[in-house]
Amino acid sequence: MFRREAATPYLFLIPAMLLILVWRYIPIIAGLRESFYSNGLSLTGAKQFVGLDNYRYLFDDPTYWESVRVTLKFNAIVNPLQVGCSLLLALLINQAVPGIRFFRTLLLLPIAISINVAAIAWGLALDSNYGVVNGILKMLSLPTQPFFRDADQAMPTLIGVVTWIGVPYWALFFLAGLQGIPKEVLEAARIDGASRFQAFRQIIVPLLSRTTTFVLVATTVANFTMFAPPYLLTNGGPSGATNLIMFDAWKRGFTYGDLGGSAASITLFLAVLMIVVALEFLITRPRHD
Amino acid sequence: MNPRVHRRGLIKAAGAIATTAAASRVYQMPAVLAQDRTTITWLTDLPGDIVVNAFNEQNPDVEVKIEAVSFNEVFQQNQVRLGSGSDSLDVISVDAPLVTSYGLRGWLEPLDDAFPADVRSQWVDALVESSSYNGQLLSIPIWNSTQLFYYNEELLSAAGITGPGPDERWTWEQVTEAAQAVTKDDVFGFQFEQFNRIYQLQPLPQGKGSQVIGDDGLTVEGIIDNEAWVSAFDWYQKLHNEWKVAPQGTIEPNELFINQKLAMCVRGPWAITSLAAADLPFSWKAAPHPIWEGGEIVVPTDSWHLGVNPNSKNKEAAIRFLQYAGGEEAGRLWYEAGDSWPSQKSLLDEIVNNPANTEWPNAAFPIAAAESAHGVPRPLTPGYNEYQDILTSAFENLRNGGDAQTELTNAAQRIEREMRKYR
Repeated sequence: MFRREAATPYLFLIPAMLLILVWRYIPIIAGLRESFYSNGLSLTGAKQFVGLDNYRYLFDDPTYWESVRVTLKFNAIVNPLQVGCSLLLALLINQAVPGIRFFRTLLLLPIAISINVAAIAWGLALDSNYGVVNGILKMLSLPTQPFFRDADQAMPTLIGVVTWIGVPYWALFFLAGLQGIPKEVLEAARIDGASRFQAFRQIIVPLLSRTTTFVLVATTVANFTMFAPPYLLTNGGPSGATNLIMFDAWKRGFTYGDLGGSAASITLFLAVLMIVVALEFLITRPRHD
Repeated sequence: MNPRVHRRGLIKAAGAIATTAAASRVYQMPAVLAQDRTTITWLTDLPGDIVVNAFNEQNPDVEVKIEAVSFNEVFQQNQVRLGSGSDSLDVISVDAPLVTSYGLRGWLEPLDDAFPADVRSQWVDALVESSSYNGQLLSIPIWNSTQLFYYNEELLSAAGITGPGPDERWTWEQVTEAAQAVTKDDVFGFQFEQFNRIYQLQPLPQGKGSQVIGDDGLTVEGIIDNEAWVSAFDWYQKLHNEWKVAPQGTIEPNELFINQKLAMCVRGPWAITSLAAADLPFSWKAAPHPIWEGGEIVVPTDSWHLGVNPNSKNKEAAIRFLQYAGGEEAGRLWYEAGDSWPSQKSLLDEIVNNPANTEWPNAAFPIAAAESAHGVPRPLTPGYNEYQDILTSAFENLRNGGDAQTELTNAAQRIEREMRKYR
C-alpha cells in the first residue's frame, strides 16, 4: 500500500517525461550524433564518421564567429530590454483605475498575433519603399529610413519588432506576480512612510524575484533560439547584420545541405545557452531563501 | 506510396461512375478502377494542373497529385525531404543548376533507360547537358527560358526616347541613359525581374567576357572578384544608389511594370502572354536582351527539370509521368497556356515559323525563340545552392549601397570555403 502511494507521483510524471524524452532529449542526442558525421556527399548519399571535423570547420569559419557575435549582441540588448519593458507594462496595467480592463486588453492584444504574422506585418510597415512608417515620416517632412535594408539599422529595428512582439506576453507573468503580492504588505510600507520607489525596490522587486528569474530565463531561451523574424524579414542581412545563430544553422543545414555543420553549430549553441541560463539562475537567485 | 483502398472512396467512385454513365449513355467500363490507381506526389510551385489533368485522363491507373508550395519552399522541402531519405515525394522539381548537387547526394534516380538518345534529342542541347551528371541522365527539362527586354512605350516617349525595335539590341549604356531620363517621382527606369539572383544577372559579367565559375565547377576566387565582375556590379550598384533608377528593397518588378511605375525590365518570355492578357492601359514592346557596348551576347537560359526520388515506391509511375511531361504534347499545353517556354526543339521551330506570330504581341515570341540561340546555362556545380545564396546576399548588399569590390571579394572567400567540402 505504502509502495503504491509512493509510486503514484512518478506514474503521473511518466507521460510528461516520455514527451520530453521524445521531443527534447532524443533530438538533442540525434543532433549531437549528426554533428560527428559528414554531409553524405557521395553518390549513395551515405554518411561518414568525421569525428570533430565539423567543429573544426566551424571554428575556422569567420561567418560562424560573426553570427556568434551578432547573436550575443542581440541577446545582450533584447533580453534586459524585454524584461524591463514587460515589468513596466505590468506595473502600468496593475493600477486600480477605471477602465483598466480595456487598457489591459489593448496592451496585451499582440499576444494573440503569431510571431510570423507580426513579423510580416512589421516588415510591410517598415518597408523602405512603400511602408506606412516611411509614409508618415514623409508626411512630416522627415527623411525616410532604410530600416531592414541598412546594416546599421537592421539590428535595432529587429530588436524593436521582437520586443513589441514579446513584451505583452512576458508582462502577463509579471502581472500575475504583482497580483500575488499581498496588498497589506504594500499598505504597511505606505503607513511606515515608504515612498513609491522605496516600496518598489524594497518590496515588489524582492517578492517578484522568482517571476523575474523565470521571465529572464524564458526570454533568454526564446531570444537565443529566435528564428522566424530574421528568416522572414532580413534573411540574415544586410552583410550578416542579423545573421542570428539559429538562422545561420538552418541555412547551413537546409540551404547548403551541410547537416553535420548545422548540428555542430546547434550543439555548441546549446552548451553556450546552458551556461548563460545557469549564470542567470545564479545571479537572480532569491537572497532570502 | 501504396495504392489506396478506401471503402468510402470506392462507394463514391461507383456513384460517380453510375451517374456519369446514366447522363452520357456512352459510358464504357474503365480498365482500372479507382482503388487500383497508383497515386504519385509531385512537389512544385509550377502551374502543373494543365499537364497533370491531361496525364491523369490518359492514364487511368496513375494519379499524379500536386503538392503545391511556394518557389522558395521547393528548394527547402527538397533539401529536408530528400535529405532525410523520405519517400513522401515521387516526382521532384529540380531547378536546372541543382541537378549536379542533387545527383552528387544521390537524390535523383538515373533515367537513361527511360529516355534513350533519340528521345533526348528532342530537347535543346544545353538543357540535356544540364540534365546529366557523371554520364547519367538524372532529370528531364520540362521548360526552357530565355530573356527579353520589355519596355513601356509611353513612359519612354514621354521622356523623348524611342525604344528598340524587334531586331534592335540595346546596350546597357543605352538602358542606363534611358532609365535616367525616365526616372522621376515614384516611377523607376529599369529593374531585372529577378533582381538579386545570379540567373538574370550572370550576363552582366559574362557579357564582359568573364566566366561565372572555374572549369572545375568549384573555383570562384579570381573569377567572381575579377575586373569584369567588379565593373559589371559596380554598374548594378550605381543603378540602385547613385542614379537611383532601379528600385531598392523588397519589390515586385512585374507589379511595378504593369502599374506604370517601372519603364523597362528584363523578364522571361512567359511575360508575353501575361502582359497581353492583362489588357494594359498602355502600350508595351519587347526587344532582344541588352548587351554591353562591344560585349558578347549572353542570355540566361535553363528552367525547371523533373526527376524521380530514388526512394519512391512508385518509380515506374513517376517515370511514366516524366515521359509525358517532357514530351511535345505537354510542352505545347504549357506553352499555349502561357505558363512556360518549351524545351522541345520542334516547338521552338514552330514558334519561329508560325504565321500567327507576325503581329504584336505574338511577334515577341519569335524574338524569344531567336534569343534561345544565345542561351547560356547557369554554373554547373555541386555547390550551386551555396554559390547562389552567397551571391544573392552580396547582390542585396550592393543594392543597399555596398562596394562592388568588397562585396564580391567577401562573397568569393565565402563560396570558396563552402566549396571545400566538394573537393
